Amino acid sequence: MVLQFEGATVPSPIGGAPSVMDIDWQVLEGECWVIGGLQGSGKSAVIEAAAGLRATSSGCVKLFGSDPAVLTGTEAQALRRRVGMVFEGSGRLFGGLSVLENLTLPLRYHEDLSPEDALEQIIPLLEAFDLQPVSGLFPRQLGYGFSKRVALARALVLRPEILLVDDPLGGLDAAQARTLRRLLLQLNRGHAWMGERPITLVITAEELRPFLNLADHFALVENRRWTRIGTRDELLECRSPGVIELLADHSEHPPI
Amino acid sequence: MAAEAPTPSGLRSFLGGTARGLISTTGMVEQLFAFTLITLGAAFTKNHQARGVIRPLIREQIFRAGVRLIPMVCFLGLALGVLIVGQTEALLQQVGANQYTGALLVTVIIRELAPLVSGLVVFARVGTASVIELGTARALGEMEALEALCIDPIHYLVVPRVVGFTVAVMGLTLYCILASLASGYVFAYSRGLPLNPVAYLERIAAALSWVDFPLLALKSGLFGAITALIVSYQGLARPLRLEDIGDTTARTVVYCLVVCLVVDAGFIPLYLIL
Repeated sequence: MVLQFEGATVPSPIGGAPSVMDIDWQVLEGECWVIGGLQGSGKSAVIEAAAGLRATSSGCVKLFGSDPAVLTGTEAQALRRRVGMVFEGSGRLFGGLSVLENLTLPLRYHEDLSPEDALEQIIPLLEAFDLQPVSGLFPRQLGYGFSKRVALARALVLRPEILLVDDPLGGLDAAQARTLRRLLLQLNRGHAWMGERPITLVITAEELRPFLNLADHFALVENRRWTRIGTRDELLECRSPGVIELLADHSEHPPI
Repeated sequence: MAAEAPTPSGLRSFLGGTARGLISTTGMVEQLFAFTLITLGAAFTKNHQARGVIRPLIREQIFRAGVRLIPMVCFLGLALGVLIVGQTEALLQQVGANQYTGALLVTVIIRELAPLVSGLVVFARVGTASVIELGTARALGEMEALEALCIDPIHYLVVPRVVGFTVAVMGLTLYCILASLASGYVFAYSRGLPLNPVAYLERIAAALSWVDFPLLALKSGLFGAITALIVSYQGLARPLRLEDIGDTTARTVVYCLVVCLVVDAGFIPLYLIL
């Protein structure tokens, strides 16, 4: 079991009412999950709780069988290194660091590598994500699509076993979205950077249609409730108004 | 016409406001103390971790808060020297109390003004900028991004500032002392006071005791460390919105000033005892 929620309630980021209540959810190795929900439904709160960045107000979240909230020191750090997180929007890149520095920072911090050694190690990642042209730029100089790609690359630098991606396609045009979905698909099937090892993926999205050919499992966050929908076929058969809304064909992001 | 006595409701509101202020200040001091302990914990337990990342950050802070401010501190030191050394030397000459020159200089410049001026310059020029930087980073979610990469934000952002500001204020204090003593001598000499440099330095050396050196290092270092801790606490401790950053910076100015003056006052008994 890679990720497990046991009756977890995730609080709202601004306090007050809980964001999402009573989540029971298991993610197995190599699976790809997409959590659908409208803007403000609490998807981001769930995925941040899954990453161990947000405490639950009841129940518990386990990563690889351990509760990150009770671990400390090197154990907590070792557990966290197995999880990659890509934030929504521009991916919360470090504004004071160039793209290259953003990407090498995790390696330099954890492996205590020199900038040159760290650069040498991430060259394959730069090539795989086609980031060489922007490697010297600062985040404020990047287009939105590149920011998202850099954020995804940064989350992969430490070669995590599970990757949590918050709204990867939000705000992207069709071509950029296609590129990102192709990268996510490669990661889930086995990417050269990850040593061809399939990575477990959890993605949040406001539209489910673009992920129909990528994800194995779907869930819905609606009215502060967590609903496991099931596989692609079960999703397509589901008549829930929430699912129908999220499956509406906006044709901006056609399936790959 | 006699002033009106405060109404009971006005008095209640005044007392309520004072009590709220006291509670809020106590809470802030408590949190700042906890933040200091966390920072010390990170500094010592992660001392050997990520040296290749942390050391350049420390050097950068020393450059930013120290090296770049040398001209400004020297200028202030020169002004201080002219104001204090020049004036007091002339006055003491008039009343025939030249033998107290050294004691006066040591007390006013070396023990009090040089560390305080250096600390305030670092705070004003770099501290306020750091609150804005850290507050913006926090508001833009960069702290969570660091945590997601298993990078301890305290180790990465606060420890280099604390070490850098501490070293910077200690160094700047030395420059401030040297500049003020030199300008004071030149000013006194230019006014025709019969004072040779050796006698001038001898008087200062005679007034200095061994305890002045460690206490000067401790005081200036504390000013730097306190500034860095308050600045980092204000920038990082609470989730901020971008529009809160201005208010937070203004509040930090007051906190830093008050805490540095309280610490400065706390050294007086030490000097008296030792």
